[in-house]
Amino acid sequence: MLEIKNLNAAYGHLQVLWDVSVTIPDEGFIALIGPNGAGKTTTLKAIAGLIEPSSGEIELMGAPLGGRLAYEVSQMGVSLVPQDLNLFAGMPVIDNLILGAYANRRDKRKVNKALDFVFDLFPVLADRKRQLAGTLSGGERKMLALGRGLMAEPKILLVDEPSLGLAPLLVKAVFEALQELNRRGITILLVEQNVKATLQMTQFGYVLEQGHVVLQDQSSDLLENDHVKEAYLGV
Amino acid sequence: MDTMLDMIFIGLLRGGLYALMASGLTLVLGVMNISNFAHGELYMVGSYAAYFAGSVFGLHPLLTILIGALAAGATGVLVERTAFHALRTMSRDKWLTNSFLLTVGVSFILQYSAFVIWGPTYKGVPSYWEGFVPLTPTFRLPLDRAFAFVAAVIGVSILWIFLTRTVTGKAIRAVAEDETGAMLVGINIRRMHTLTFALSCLLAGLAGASLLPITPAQPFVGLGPLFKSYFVVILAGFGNVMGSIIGGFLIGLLETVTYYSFGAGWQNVASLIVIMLVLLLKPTGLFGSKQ
Repeated sequence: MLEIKNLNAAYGHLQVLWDVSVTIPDEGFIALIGPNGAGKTTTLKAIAGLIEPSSGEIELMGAPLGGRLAYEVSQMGVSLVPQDLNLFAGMPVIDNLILGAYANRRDKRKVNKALDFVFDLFPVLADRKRQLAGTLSGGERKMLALGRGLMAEPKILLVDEPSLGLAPLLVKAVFEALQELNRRGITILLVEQNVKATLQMTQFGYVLEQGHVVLQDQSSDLLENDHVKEAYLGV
Repeated sequence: MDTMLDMIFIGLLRGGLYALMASGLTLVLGVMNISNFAHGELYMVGSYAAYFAGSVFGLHPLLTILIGALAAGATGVLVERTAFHALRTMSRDKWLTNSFLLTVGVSFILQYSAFVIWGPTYKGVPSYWEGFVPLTPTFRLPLDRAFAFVAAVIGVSILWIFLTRTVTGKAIRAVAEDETGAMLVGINIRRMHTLTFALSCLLAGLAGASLLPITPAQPFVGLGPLFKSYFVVILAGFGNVMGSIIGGFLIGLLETVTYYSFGAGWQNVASLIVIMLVLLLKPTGLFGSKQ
């Protein structure tokens, strides 16, 4: 589905990603883990078109993504749910969701179908349809961001640290939602600091440290890996 | 009693046109983060275009007003696609200041181009429609003013309906709310910027064109409307479109009451005192701003 080959990216003169290569198969649930500042968010931003790579290739089902503007990448079927959420705070929940389906805006049936899907997945959003996004609680805002990302019926969902700042019960709910989405056939690349839960949910994982992919393996094997255990699982 | 009612009518008439101008200015401020000092010149473009359509080509007043608005809108597209786009690609640093200076330049270019091409003389039409509407026993409203007010109300209403009920309008507001978020849902930011700016200029041109019989076209006719627009936007809060609409009417009423109570020279003084108070006590504006 998504193929990243030798991706290099920099912020000005500061190189952040070094020859990062990641393969995400169709209907895969892939983890990207690593410490703070490793470049995980940068990788997602490069895929989504928010950052231009210095070199390397990013391909979605064979079509090149690298260098394209963010709105183009979104229209091609890549949905990023960012760490900062980037919600439209002054607009109600329903408008945030409708705008999530902007690429399909001319097909009312598709949009309504997507709305039903999201409200079914997150009933609390249906309850708060007309509430301004900025007034929602932390967990609700995460769900709205996820829901908005789903509205365009994306080919691949990129999720950046959804558990950040959430109470454990809500983290569980969000993770369950992601698993359910993957079960329904949505490809997901998950960036997370909650390593144990992430490796338990996903099939394959990449460990990013200081901009380099230092490990890549089946998630179950990564859980047993000595380095992972020492650095991330506190063993 | 009659004078009070007359004052309210006159205040609302003025206010309508202020609301029309200010809503466009605040929209561009909120969506594009540009403080458009050339906003008055788009009024002027509308004015001149209407003059040529109405006086030189003798077209029907409604068509004339429409042509004025469209001419201003087209000018807006030109300015946005050349000047603003160029600035955006060159540097996003110190954007607010740089874009403002750019609009000052655009303002000068438009003003003095008009001066060079058409000279300083006033170019107007005696009227679009002859006749009066007797509103009260003491007040006969010239039809031209009535139509200008109707144009303002229609303009503002269409803007509001567009922004709140259409997907494209919501997309424009989304860009103002969170530009990154808008990009991520597939909104073409460049296109939205051009559309927003064109809309703002269209409304200013509508004001200029519909007021042609009352305020003739001349190179510096935009200065007055520019200042009034800024008064309203500062009073209401940057980026707040509904606030500017309401604020426009408020300023219109305030000015008229001051005019009749203290004389013509005190209009701006009253408005400015109110604005100073607002800036001191509630700097985000009476109705709150986007930033």
